[in-house]
Amino acid sequence: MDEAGLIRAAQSGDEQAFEQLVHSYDQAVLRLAYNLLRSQEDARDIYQEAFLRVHRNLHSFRFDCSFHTWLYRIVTNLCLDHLRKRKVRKEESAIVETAEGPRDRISTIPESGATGDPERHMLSSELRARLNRGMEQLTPRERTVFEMRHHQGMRLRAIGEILGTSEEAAKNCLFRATQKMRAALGEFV
Amino acid sequence: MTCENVQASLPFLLYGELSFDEEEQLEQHLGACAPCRQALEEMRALHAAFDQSAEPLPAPLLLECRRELRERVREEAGGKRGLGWWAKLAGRLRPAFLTPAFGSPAWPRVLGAVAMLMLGFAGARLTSPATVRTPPTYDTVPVSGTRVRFVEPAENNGLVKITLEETRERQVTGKLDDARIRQLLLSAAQDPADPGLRVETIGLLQRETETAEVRQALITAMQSDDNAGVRMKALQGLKRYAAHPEVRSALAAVLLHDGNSGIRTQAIDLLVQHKQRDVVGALQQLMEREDNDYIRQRTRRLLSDLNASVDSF
Repeated sequence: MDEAGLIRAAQSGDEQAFEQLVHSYDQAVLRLAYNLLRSQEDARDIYQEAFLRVHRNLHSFRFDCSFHTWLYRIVTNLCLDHLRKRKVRKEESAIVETAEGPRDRISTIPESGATGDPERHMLSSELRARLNRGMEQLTPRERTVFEMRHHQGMRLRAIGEILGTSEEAAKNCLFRATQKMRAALGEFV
Repeated sequence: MTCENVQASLPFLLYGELSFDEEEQLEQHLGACAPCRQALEEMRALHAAFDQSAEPLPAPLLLECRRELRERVREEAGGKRGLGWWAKLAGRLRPAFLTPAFGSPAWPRVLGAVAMLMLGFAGARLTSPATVRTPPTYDTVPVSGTRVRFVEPAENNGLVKITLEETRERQVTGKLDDARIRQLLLSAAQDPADPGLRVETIGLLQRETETAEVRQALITAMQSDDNAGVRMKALQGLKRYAAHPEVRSALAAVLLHDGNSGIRTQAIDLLVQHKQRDVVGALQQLMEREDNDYIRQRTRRLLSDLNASVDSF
């Protein structure tokens, strides 16, 4: 069944079709939320809330835009709200308490890739710390546009459509994000 | 086009976000301007660094999210069907709670708690005994035509719990050495749609590697699964068999063909544990193509320990 067929079946109450629809997108959605919020719990909350909203409101989806755009509007709105609240509360410090004492949040995320090369590990840790600092300096919108373009591979036109802005505005946002990340990495790259 | 304009456009060149004409102009400029070419190389390095700002998803997270969503969707659907009158009543009462007379923040909470209690009673009354899950024995499970959706270890009793996709969901429990349980797990280990399920399943099968068919499943997953997490899990499951010729040959193939340097690192670390000459040819081939310093160093050392040349002839 193609996507439109799945959506129509899910609209008429077919839960299996709804699940299949979810499974076509949920890995990318979860990855976006996890990369933006850097927290399993927050990403899990976004996932649940986004797909529950889809389930509750699917009957009102009229194919005026693609399902992808509609879903990502929900997801990015949730993520942006979360990032803005976090910024206001300032409770998400870059430093977290661990059993070994206070550590940079990014260093508490298990590292992937090769192990056993101390020099590479050190360089990689330093790079990750700088990338993290760069990400912290981005506004929620810049961070979202950067993630969607760089890691999800979406076109700027599609990003603009999702965020309710123009392609040009998304482009400017990405440019500012790139500049800030570049400044954070400094001579490291 | 000025150098300033060109350098501002470089990120979009790399993202493929320039029009045909813009790209043409840029390339003409780059052909004639060394500082801008240098700036392009720097931008490429920056993009490569950006790649590392993404975190791989923890493997079980997607699986847990899907499970939780399914439960919550079911709860909501159940609520809509069985408790419509209550939702309507609550909808009518709600504006009254929000008037200034009921403006104290405690009111909605108290009423909410009462509502939850009533929902609980109503839910219990409306739930038929047939919907209460009692795990059946595996004897009642038709293995063919059934899709395994989730697997998980039960609590410290050596059993595994498997969730199947049928017209309705059931759970089966059984020991790993039970052939029928194993058959379900072996099928789940190849489920093309769900890498999270494959990771969980391979994790369970690791405990049953005495069986040849399980070992073969792990070897197949290690060599051909398209998800690096699954391949790594399968490799870890084969650690105990690093001296086994079939496993060693598979590890050598992983070293030569796997694109993930983390997995190749683990593979060479296992081969090094047993200094056997059966993989010399593969190691010599590896020295011609491997670019990871650590793997090269370990391979060179192993070849030297085996009195073999570093080069192939």
